[in-house]
Amino acid sequence: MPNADINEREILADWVESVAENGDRAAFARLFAHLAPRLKAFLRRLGSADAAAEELVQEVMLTVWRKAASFDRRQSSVSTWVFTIARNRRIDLIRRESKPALDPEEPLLRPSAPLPADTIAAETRRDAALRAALAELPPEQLDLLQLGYYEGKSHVEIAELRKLPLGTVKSRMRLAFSRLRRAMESYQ
Amino acid sequence: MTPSHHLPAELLFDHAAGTLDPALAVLVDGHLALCLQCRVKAQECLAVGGGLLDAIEPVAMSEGAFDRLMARIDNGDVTWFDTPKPAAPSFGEETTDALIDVLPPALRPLGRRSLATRRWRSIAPGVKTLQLDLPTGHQGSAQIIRVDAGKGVPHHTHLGNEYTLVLSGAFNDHSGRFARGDLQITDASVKHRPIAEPGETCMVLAVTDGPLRLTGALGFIQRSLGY
Ligand SMILES: [Zn+2]
Repeated sequence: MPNADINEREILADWVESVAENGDRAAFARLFAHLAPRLKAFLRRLGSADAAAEELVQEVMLTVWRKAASFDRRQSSVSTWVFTIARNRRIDLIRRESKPALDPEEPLLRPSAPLPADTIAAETRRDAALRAALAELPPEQLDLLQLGYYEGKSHVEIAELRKLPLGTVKSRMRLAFSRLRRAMESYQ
Repeated sequence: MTPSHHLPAELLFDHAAGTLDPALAVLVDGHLALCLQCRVKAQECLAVGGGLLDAIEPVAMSEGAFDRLMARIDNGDVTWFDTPKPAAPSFGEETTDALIDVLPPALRPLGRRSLATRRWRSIAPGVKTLQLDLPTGHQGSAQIIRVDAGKGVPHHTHLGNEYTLVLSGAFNDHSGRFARGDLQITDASVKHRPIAEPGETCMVLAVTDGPLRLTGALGFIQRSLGY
């Protein structure tokens, strides 16, 4: 795995910490330049029109600015943290549409209970290993992950879409995750 | 105590991608609250999302997007995260219930709200259910089932999958023993009769993605009552 990749992850985390500690606008500008175009691409694939995707990116980045102090580099990489913010925002929007009266304090909308710091060590190295493993995933496994994470399809919808038996989808997911997990664990 | 029946990959996947229906999401959060092993896996699945976010082909933001964001920040704009939440209805102490004690803290507001708006309903001797105040996918349901020690839930099947998370006590059926934190998933082909172990009331969170059907005489009564 290239060291440049590891350095890049460390630098992203440094920037978030600098935003948290000093309200560092230059660091935030660099974060924005890195994250916003990826978030926009991600949200467009999830079905948002261009303008709506940009508005969501703005909200996610506003949250990054405001919640920078809650980022913990021992718990997750910057990408994972920002992915989780975008995911929670999207769930929140969907649920408001389907049942506006829902209490936003639903457990679903809150982050899961924190992990002990020693359970997830060297998150940055793990993350770089994960990226390398993602690039080498068999196409049919990557396809499932992309349909779920990029297109917002549940495993049941994926089975229907790809005309695959549910059992096949489930076992491919198991295979994909155990492969990725092995890659991450080798860097713990 | 560590649960011995865990979340399958496809539920961890849907959880991380944010595609679970609300009732299943509560069940998954309930298991995660009680299971460190699955919490680690759930975090790994979120990391996969982070990795995919990294790997995506970027799409340029429109001209001036960053300056507009900084203007909002200087304006003191709030995020969706900060938007004022509707005041939580105050139920006082009267809804304190054995159920609340066994719910993981994150699920307690939902439990209180459900207790305040719905009633425990008796479905068989020693067995009561409480519908949860949640939207569910298709025609499923999310309910708490409380079974007195030593009693059993009547034989039943369901049209879809049934997901059962044990909150207190333990039950046994043909497929094994399930205690606090354990998750059982049965599909429509399974007809089962879970029985609570002696000694402690067994409470479970049960989510179905198709309506539950009691078989036998109780099923006839259930159908004639229009459940
Ligand atoms: Zn588990």
